[in-house]
Amino acid sequence: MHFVKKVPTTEEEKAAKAKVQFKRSQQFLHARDRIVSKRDKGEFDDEMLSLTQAILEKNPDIYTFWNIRRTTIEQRIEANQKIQESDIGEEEKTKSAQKLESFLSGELYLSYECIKSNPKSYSAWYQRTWILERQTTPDFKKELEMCKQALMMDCRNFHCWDHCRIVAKMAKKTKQEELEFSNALIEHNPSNYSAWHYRSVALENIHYDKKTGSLKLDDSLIASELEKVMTVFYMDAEDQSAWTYTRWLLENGNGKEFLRPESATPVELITASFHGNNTTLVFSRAVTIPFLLTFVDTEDTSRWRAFSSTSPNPSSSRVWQYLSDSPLRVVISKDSDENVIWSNLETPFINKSRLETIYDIHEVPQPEYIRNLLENVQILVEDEKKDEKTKNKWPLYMKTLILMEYQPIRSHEEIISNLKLLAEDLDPKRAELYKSILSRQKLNHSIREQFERILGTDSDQLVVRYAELTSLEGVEFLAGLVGNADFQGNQLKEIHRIVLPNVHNLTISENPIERLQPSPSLSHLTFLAIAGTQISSIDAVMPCFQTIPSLDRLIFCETPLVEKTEELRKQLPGVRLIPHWL
Amino acid sequence: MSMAGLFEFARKDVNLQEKLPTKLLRDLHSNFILQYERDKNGYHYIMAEHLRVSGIYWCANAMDLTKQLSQMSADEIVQYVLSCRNSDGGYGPAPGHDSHLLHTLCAVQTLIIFDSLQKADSNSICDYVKKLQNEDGSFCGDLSGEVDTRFTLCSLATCHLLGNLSTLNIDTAVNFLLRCYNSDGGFGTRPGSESHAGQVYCCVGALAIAGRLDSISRDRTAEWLAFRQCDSGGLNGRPEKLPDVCYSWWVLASLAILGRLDFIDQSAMKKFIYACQDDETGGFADRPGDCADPFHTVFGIAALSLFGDDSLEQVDPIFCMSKKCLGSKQIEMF
Repeated sequence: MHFVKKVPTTEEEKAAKAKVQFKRSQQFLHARDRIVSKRDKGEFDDEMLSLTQAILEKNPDIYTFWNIRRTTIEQRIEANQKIQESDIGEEEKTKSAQKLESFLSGELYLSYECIKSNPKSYSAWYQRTWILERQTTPDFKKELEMCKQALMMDCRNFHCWDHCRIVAKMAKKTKQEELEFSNALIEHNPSNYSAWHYRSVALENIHYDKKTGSLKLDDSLIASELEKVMTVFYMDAEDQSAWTYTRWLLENGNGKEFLRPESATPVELITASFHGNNTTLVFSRAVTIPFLLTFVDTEDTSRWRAFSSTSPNPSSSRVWQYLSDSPLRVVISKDSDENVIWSNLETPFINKSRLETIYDIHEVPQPEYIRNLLENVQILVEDEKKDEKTKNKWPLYMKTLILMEYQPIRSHEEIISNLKLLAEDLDPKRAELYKSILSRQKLNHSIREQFERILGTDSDQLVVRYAELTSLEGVEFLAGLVGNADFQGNQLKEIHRIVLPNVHNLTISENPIERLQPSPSLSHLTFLAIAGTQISSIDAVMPCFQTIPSLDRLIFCETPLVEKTEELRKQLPGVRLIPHWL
Repeated sequence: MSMAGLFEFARKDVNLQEKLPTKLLRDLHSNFILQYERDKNGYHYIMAEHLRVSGIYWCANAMDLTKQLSQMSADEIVQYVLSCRNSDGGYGPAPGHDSHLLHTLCAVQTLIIFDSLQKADSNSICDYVKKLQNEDGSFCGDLSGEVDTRFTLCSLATCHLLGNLSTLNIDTAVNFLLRCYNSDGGFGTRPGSESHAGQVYCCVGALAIAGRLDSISRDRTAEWLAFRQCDSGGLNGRPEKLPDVCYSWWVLASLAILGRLDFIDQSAMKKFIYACQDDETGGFADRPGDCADPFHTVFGIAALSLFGDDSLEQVDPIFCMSKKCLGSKQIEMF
C-alpha cells in the first residue's frame, strides 16, 4: 500500500467498515466465480464484458480479466473480418465495421476510467496500447492530448511517458514533434526529470549514427540546449533534473567515452600481449567468447578465462586470457573484411591513442559553450558559499565533473579539493562515492606520470603509492601491461576486485585491509606484501592463499598476523615468510 | 489517496519524528505476517487474490529471513501454490487466474523456501518461460504481450533456480537489457524509458545471473543509485520523489550486487527503515506513519539483512531469499 495514512478509528467505525467490506468481498467472489465459469465454458459474450468491466473499474490490476476481455474482443474482430470477406451487402459491412470501431472506442474509455482512478495500473495502460494497435483509424492526436493532460496532473507518471513514446511511434511522429512535446511539458514544469529524459532520448534518436553506433551532437545544438537548461538550474539549483541533463550534454560534447554507459560505445581492442602461459586481450568494453573468436586464430572456446571486479567467473568482460604456452595470432586492425592485419604478438599490441583517452593523457579541446557553462556554474558555486544555511552539492559537483572532462590535468588540484569538500562537508552521505571518483582522478594522474614507461617494453611496473585510492576501477585497461603493482599506503579495503590477472608481484602494504578474499585475478602471484595492514588471523588469509600455488614470498611485517607466524609457516610450507623488516 | 497522502505526494522527503521505532521489532513482524496467513476470509485476503502467490512469497520470505519460518503451515502453503499451476506450465496468482511470469517466479521461490521444489514440474515451467521470449530478447509477462524489463529478471531467475538457464537465449536477453540502459546510469521498463530503481534492480540482477555485469558501467550505475538517498536517510525510486521502504531494497540490493553498498550512508538508511515499522501491529509501511503491509515488510527486513543483522538470515541480493535456503543455487559473486 502506498500513500495510505494510518488513521485512528473507533471500534464502531471499524465494525461499520467491516460490514461494508464483507459485502464487497462477497460480491467480488460471486462475480469472479461467474466469470471463471463462463470462461471455462467459452462464453465470451456481452455478459462477460459487463461482469469484467464492473470489477476492473474498481480494481484494474486483475490482469486475467483484461485477458478475458481481449479474448472477447478478438472474437468480435474475427467476426467482423468474416463479414467483410463475405458476400453480404456493403451496408451490412459498414454497419459491422462501425459497430466494432465504436466498441473499441468504448474499451479505450473503460481503460481511461480505470487510469483515472488508478494512474499507476500497468494493466490499464497496456489495454490502451493493445486497443490502439487494433483500431483501423486510431485517433493518435486525441491520445497524445490525453497523455499531455495526464502529465499535467502528474508530470512523473512513467506509465504515461512510456505510453506517449509508444503512441508517438505508432503515429510515426517525427522526432522534432517529440521534442516539441517535451518543450510544452518542460515549460509547464521545468523541474521535471521525466520530461528532460524524454528530450534526451528524442535527441539521441535524431543524432544517432547507425553506422558507427555512436551518438554525436554538434556544438551549436549542445550550446542551445545548455542555454535552455541553465535557466532551470538558476531557478532551482537543487533540482537534479537540470543537472543530469547538463551532464548528459557535456559528456556528449567531448570525444571521451569511458565515463558513459558502455552500451553506446563501439568495441575496440586496447591491448593484446603474450605472457608465457597466456595471451591476454583487453577491450574497451566487455565482450563474450563468440565475439573474442572473431579476433583470434583459434576456435577453441574452452581455454578462455574472464576477469571482473564483481564476480569470479563472468561470461563477459573487458579482460580475457587464453591459457596456452604459445601465443595466439590476433587481429589488431580491421577496416573491412579484406583489410585485416594480424599480429604474432612478438611485441605486445597497444592501442595507444585509446589508452591516452582512457587515462586523460591529454586534455580535449574546450568548446566555447563549456567556458560559458563553467562561468555560470561558478556563479552558483559562489552563491552557495554565501548561503551558510543550505548545503547544495550540485553546483560544485557539476563544476568538478566539467573540470574532469575538460581540464583533468591543469585543474587536478582543484578537482581533488572539490571532491574532498563534497565528501566531507557538502554531501557526507555519499562520501564513498566522491572518494571513488577522487580515487580514479588520482589513478589517472599517477598513470599519466608513468605512461610511457608502462607502455614500453623495459618495465611492467605500476606504482601508485599514497594516493588515497579507495578503488582500482579503471586499472583493468592495463591488465596486459602490468606484472608488478605497488599500491602501498592507499585506502583499499579489498584486493579481490583488482583486475590485473598478469600481476606476479603485488604490494598492498599500509592499506586498511582486514581480510584477503580469493580472486582468480591474483592466482599468479609470487610475491605479496601486506605489511601494515589490519589482517590479524590465519582464517583471513588462507582461503586466498590456497588459490595462489605460485606464492613464493610474503611480507607481513607490522600486522597482527606476525603473532601467528609459526602457525602460518605450517600452513604455507613452501613460502618464504617475512614477518620483520630486515 | 487521503488528503494527508496527497499533501505528502507533493513533497520530496519526509521528516523523521521522535518516538518512531529505532530498532528491529522482529517478533512483532512475525505476528503481523501470521495474521495475514490466518485470516483467509478477510477482506484484504480476498481482494488481493490477483497477486496472492506473490503475497505468499513476501510473507514466507519475511518469516524465513526473520528465522521464524517454522511457524507457518508449510504443507498447506505448498499445496496452495501447486494448485495455482496452469496447463501452460506457468503459475497464476490463484486458481482460475492466468499464468504470469511474476507469479511463476514467486511460486518457484516459495517452493524453494519450503524445500519443495521437487514437487514442481521444472521442465514445463522452463518451457512456459521460454515461449514468452521475443525475437529481440525481451520477455512478455504473460500471453497479453506486455513487455517490461521486470519480466527479463523473472525469466532468468526462474530458469536459473530450476537449473536450466541455457534454455533461454541469454545473448539477446542481455542485448535487450542494454538497450534499456540510460546515460544517467539507470534502467527503464523498455528502450527509451526513464530510469527507475525497481527496474535497475531487475536489470542488474538479470545481468548478474547471466554473468554479464561488466557490460555496464559499474560506477555510473552505483552513482545513480547513491543519489536515491534523501536527507531523511530513506531512498526514493527516482530523482525528486519521496523515499519509500521498498526502494531501500531495490536500491541497496543493486548496490550490493555492484559491490558499492558503502556509496550510501548506512546508519541514516537504517534509521529510516526502523522508523517505518508499526510498533503496534508490527509490519513495515512505505513511510513512517502509513499503513503497514507484507510487501513493505519483507523488503524492509531484507534491506536490513544486507547490512548484516544477527537476528536475521543473510539475504541474497539477486534473488531476495535467504542464502541458507538458496544453498548452491546462489550466483557466485564477490
